[in-house]
Amino acid sequence: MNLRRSCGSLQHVDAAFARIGLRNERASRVTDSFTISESGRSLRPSMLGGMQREWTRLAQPGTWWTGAERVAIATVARAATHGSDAPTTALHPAVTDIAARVATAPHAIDRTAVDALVEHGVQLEAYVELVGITARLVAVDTTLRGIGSEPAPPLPSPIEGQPSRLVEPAAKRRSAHVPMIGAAGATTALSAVAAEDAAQADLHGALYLHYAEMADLTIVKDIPRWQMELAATTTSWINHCVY
Amino acid sequence: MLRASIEHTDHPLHLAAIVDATQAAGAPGADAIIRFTRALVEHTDRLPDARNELTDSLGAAGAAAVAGAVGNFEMMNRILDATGVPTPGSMTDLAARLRS
Repeated sequence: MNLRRSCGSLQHVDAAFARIGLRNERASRVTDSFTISESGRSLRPSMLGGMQREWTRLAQPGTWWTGAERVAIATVARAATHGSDAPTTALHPAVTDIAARVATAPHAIDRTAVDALVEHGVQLEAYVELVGITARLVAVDTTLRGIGSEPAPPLPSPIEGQPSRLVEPAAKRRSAHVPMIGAAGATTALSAVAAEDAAQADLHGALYLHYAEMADLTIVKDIPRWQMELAATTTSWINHCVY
Repeated sequence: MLRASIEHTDHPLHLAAIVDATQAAGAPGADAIIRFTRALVEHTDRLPDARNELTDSLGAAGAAAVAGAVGNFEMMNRILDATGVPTPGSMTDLAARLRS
């Protein structure tokens, strides 16, 4: 009886490892698609790693969108930042429209615009995920264009699977357009979708500072803190972001 | 964060240079950072020259770090605006003036 149970457990473990192996193989294919030019050598390894992880995340089923839908949202966002017409995708036109607006004019999005999306059947949490996908795509494309690595790397091929639809019961809609856990702020903006919250923190740490480093005003990561902040402030000024 | 971090250096920084391209920022590399950031965020054809100037000033790794900071704030600006995170109460008046 014990032996049978033990064998059953081993079979279960073997199956689990097989699934992990398959997932890793798929992840490596996605990472391999993240190709950048020779100018990428100037990047800190941690910056490059963060962007590679973002490509892997982008391709996978999310919390409210499939991998194909996530890549389609990124495709729309990239086209919008280039001033191109919206590409043909399977996304609802309202989703295409809001993804383009998040990419190009987020300061013009108000609660009415978000509520209009909900009337088209898009849950607030799905909008939160869309914002995260779009914002991180722009972050990666901007960084690579900044170092002269063009054209932008091709978007990854989506990985099949269903969204987890994991609900965060503690997230409430208060003063912001979307539900958040706790007070609205930079580190809670995407907290209604845990995976998006974590993805934001990961890329934030790779490209700029980890949250734990934020209080260190003398930190040096290739450049001193004040130079990072000068770039940050200038960016926010141009984007009309007054937070 | 800019105002607080500059206090930890010996460099004077003329903040008006961020909003007025005719003014000099003063601190080492600051003008190159502002010109590069403007070219990158505003998608202008001055980006290659601005990148060269920045690389001459801060080195290739330094220029990449500036690009990463710009990329990160392109992300954060979108997240904050699109999710409607309100401006902190102490900044409300200033925010209204900046928006106008």
